[in-house]
Amino acid sequence: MKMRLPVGPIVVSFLVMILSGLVLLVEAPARAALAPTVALIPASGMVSGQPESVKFSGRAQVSSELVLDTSKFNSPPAVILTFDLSNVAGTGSLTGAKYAIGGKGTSVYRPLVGADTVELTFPFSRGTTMSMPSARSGVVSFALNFDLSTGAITSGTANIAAPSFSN
Amino acid sequence: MLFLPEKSSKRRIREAENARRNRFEIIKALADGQISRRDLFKWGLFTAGGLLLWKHGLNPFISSAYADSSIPTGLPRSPLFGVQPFTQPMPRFDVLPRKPNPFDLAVLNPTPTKEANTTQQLLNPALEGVTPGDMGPIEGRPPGPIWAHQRFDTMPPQIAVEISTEGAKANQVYDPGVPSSLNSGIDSTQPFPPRFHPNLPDQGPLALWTFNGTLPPKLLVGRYGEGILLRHHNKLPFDVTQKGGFGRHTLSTHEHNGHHGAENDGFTGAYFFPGEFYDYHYPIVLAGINSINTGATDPRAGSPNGSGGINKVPGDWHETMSTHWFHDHMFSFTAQNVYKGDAGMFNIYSALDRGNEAINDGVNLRLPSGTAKDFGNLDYDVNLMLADKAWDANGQLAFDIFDTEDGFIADIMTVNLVYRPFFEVERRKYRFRILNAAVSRFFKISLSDASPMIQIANDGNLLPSPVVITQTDQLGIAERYDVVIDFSRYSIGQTVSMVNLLAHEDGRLPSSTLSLSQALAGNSSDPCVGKFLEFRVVRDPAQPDISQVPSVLIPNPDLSAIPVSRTRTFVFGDSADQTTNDPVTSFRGPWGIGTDGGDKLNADFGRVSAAPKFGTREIWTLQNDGGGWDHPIHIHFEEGQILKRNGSASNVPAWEKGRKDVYRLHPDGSVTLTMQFRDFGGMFMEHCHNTMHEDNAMLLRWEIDDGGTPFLRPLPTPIPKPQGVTFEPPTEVLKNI
Repeated sequence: MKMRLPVGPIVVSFLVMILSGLVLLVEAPARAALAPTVALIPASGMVSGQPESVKFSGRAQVSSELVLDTSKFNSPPAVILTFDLSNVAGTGSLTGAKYAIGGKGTSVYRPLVGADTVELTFPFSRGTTMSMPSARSGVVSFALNFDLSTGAITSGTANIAAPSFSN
Repeated sequence: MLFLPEKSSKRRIREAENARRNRFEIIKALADGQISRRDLFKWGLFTAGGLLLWKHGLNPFISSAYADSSIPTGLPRSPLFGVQPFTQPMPRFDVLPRKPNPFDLAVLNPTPTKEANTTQQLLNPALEGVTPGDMGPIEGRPPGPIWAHQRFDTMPPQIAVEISTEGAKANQVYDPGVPSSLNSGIDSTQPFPPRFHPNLPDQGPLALWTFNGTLPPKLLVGRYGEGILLRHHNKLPFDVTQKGGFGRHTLSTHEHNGHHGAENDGFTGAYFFPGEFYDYHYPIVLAGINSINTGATDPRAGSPNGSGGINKVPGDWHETMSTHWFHDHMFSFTAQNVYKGDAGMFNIYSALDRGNEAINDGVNLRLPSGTAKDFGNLDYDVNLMLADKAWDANGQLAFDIFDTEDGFIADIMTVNLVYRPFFEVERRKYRFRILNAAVSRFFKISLSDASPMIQIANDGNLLPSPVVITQTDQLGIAERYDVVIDFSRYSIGQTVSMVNLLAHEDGRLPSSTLSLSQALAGNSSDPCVGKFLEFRVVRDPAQPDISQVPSVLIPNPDLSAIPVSRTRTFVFGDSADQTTNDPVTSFRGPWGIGTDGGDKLNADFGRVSAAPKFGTREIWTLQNDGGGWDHPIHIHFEEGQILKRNGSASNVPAWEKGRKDVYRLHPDGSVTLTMQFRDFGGMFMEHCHNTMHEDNAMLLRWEIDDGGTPFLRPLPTPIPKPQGVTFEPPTEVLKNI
């Protein structure tokens, strides 16, 4: 019995591949955006101050988007980090009241390195949503490790404290 | 542009100064018309893409001939002549006089006309292309019905404001709109010199070109339903070579982001010459005047009536705008002219945002402002114009047009056009209307003690809800962020500063976001990082602070019932092509915009790239096709709403959920937005507001057919000359527009 090669389907598949490639060539922008990766970073610490100190704990969501420059400038790789602390809950040390953190969507642009410390300030207030009149501020220091090929965060921790900047 | 470290060797500084001088000579020859960009290409100083080649003694990024490192040569720091930061008060803006009855000859002579006033005058032969005896029109607006003021008969202007652009001189009539005690002690009866600091040299009349030729920058005050006729006189030198090395003496003033007819938009090709004026008619109407609240029955769509009440106006109150600015938009010279000082701000008052914190009528939001006047109190409502500047060894403003690829970054931080000032405040809430008026620099602002601020507006539009922040997002060029700061948390005698957290190494995009402690440490190689404005808490307020920041400000217009008539995609990037060769309208540069899958094209204001139909709504996606740049894209005419960032609605932060007119495209990023096209017609623009990118061809023209006809009738392109504006057909109309 003679075997017949499935020429038709192969040719069709080949044509589909070529045409798909052509379509991609036509429609794709010069370089497609690289999808960000998301990491959940354990975050904890205390913001001391009046009217009461507030203890925070939870998991911060940090999205990392790799930025590659293929232009003639060939800048070193960088990452855009976007932070969401809304799942880090605060509890008042005197009253036991709940505190909410704002600033969701704050982003920073950082050169990509294997290990980076990113310090960020954030507002918080008593209640389950941000309240303007009673808003206070804290500072969270992220120690993040990165995959240098993808920009993804491989591990990290976050420590929360009261700001101590000089005016 | 990168600046040399402060401790650079004398030899390195001398070499950099020589490079700057060489570049200045070329810039001057180019600006004077002695050479052309084509000559630069021919001589091999520019690449075909419009880039300055890496030649020693010319390009600031080439390594030193003497150094063995790869550190760019850079430029010498701007000399400070021993001046220290925070040693001068920050001047409030200079409020432009408003005169009623614009049709009274005693107010405006000649009286304004619907079509351009083509009364002839003898031209100065120093103007380019003019021979002795030539005549030309007194108004530079393109003549005829197409460029006639829309709605001029039904909404005639009620207020006249007359301004000029001219060389620097002392200000003899400074009106800060507040007493000296609220202006950090500045005595406004004394002449205000054209200096960035009292101990820095005066700017010469060719170095600094501002509105009325003076400092501080100008503030235009308006209110809804009260049209303004802004007569802008061009008093710049007739001789195009008289410019201090950069700038262009032709002007087109964009009211950013006015909802006006295109003839008043400051179209990049509708520029006017020295000796001419241009009448801009700003009706100041709420978008939707044809379709929403046409009977003017809703008090939220209203304007302060001067005596505590509301004049109701037609249109959608959700479209109320508050903080605009106006600046030059001269084709391919916007960066130079704006940098040279041609920029002001425009506060628009409404029943909702009336600039009076006491009137409690159920509509007024009572934001921090003051109480003495019915509207427009500036006591606690402060305009801040941020811009980085550089100057030469003589202290004269300096610029470098060769930074076409990346952008122009300077080394001196200014607020309201003075060097790192202080501002005295009372222990109460203030509103700050912050404008990024830089050429290419982004800012990110925090208070030096990380205290919370409340962001209430973005791009001059009050947000649906205020957002508590400790640091702003990036302020792209031309973006406005209105924030409220409550100084009651401080004691008298305390200071707190605004701090810039964003470092640049060049004008392509920020190189790094610094933490507050890093920015305060003073170690950044970018001289504009760190404290730039010091607040000094000097007293308790004389009256209790009764201002408010309500939890609901202005909800977005609900567009869900309005069908989307079309989607478009615009790709912003480099390596663009030019398909036209018109000597006036067409420009070649490294940048361009691709429309709906087409090639990226260099700017040509004679080309029509899109033509939304009158009265429709569309969805536009703006795409940055590179990882090496950040592009703040400005779409003229009507505010949009961001639907998605990078393809997802969840990526849109709270402070971008209002209405906007500048859309920052992060590297490789995209923004999807929706906007409507209504009320007025004509030719508008879309461009990168990194004005070096804009000037080097990242700009396109789009049109609204004002007749509402089903087919576009492309408008003829204005070709301005001193002898009068002529018209030519569009050089190109893209397919499927």
